Amino acid sequence: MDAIQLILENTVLARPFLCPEIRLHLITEACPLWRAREPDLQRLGLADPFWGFCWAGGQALARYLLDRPHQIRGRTVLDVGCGGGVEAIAAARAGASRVIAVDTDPLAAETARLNAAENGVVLETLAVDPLERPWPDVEVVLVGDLFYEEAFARRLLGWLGEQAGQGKEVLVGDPDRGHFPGAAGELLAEYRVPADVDLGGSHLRRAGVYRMARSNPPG
Amino acid sequence: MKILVTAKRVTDPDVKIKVKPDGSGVITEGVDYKVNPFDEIAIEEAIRIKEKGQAEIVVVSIGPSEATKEIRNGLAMGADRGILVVASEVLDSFAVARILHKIVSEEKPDLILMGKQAVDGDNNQAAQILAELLGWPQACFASKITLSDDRKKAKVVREADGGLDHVELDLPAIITAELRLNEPRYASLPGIMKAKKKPLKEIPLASMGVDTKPKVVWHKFSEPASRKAGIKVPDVPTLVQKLRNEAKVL
Repeated sequence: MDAIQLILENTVLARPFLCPEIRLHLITEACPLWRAREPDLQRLGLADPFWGFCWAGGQALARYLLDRPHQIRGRTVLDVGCGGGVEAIAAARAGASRVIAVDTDPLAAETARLNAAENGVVLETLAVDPLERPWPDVEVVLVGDLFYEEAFARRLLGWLGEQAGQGKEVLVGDPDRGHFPGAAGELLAEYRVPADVDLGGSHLRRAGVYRMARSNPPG
Repeated sequence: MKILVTAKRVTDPDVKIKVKPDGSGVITEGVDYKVNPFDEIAIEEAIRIKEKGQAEIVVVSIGPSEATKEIRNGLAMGADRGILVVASEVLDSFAVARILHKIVSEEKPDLILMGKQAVDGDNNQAAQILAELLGWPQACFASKITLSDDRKKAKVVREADGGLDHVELDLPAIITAELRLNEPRYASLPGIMKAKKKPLKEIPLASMGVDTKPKVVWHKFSEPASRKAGIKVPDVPTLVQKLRNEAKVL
């Protein structure tokens, strides 16, 4: 099935709890996919549709950017592991001059592109591993809710340390998933965000937005 | 309350296993794995207890790194976090119980739910040994579990050989799940996706300081002898003659 058709047929437009000014193609209770089980997902080739949900860390980071446009206006931004791209869209809306949204999953990159169009902004979307290449023009690196798996978190942290060491501003949204060490960044803001896939906000959890230290990349 | 549940990664019980030609074990190449069905029932029971009140559910597995899949399955059903003790060696029930004992001494759960046995080795020992190590009450083969309102006691209906055994335990306690305890739910997409981001800690077995020297040693594995084909007899007298002279049952 065509990627765009697959995304459109399995999502509805909805507004994340913390960023109601942004509309995203999301998998909600209204979608048949909501009730899909593991074998259904395998049949559809959709083992991990992270792009269909607006995760807590991404929402917090997006809220932070929307409320402080001066921090991002006119700058070149890279969104690492963009998923549906909520933080990339927030950066574009806040006035970033150029936003590159990257995810290893081609469906995520496609969803981010569709979501951007829905919000009247343009993203450069790429389906590559962002940790495998240099980004010389990038000034700001965004990371929304990627610190959830130990081995990848270690790899990501090392890479972000290098980016910060090169003078890039690295902003991380993390809802205490346990693999982003507080010592690696300065806490800029805290939010109460819906716990994961719950769109309505019946269960809220804390999420922090951090700026990674420029010197001494954490080991 | 905190509930600790086990989730062993076992060879798919619906697939016929084959013994290695040299009898040293079972062929594991190309074999499908899944969570031990009795453990899945234990996880379902923990989630039902949580749904009736507050509870944190910790899913524990011991096995290769791939066993994170079985833990994530439990998290997708509704458990809160996972612990995988990464071990590649063959462990007997006593070693498993000692590893769990170490985890329990750190986690301090109020209730441990386990499958009554794992469908690979069918030992049916780890829970009983763990109860002994902890000095906790145990109720194995539970087909019904009812917690008291203050969650200090559990009433358990056990499936015993001669009928049903009704027991009451003080918590903390260990209860093992029988087939008829419940029917586990299937996780659907929101649960599966949530589970991807739930905390799962991996602990190398070697770092735990637990003596896992086996008390049971497996010497040889062999497949059951294949059944001999039957014969057809032309008439009743021949049947009677064969039953009398060959089968010697008359």
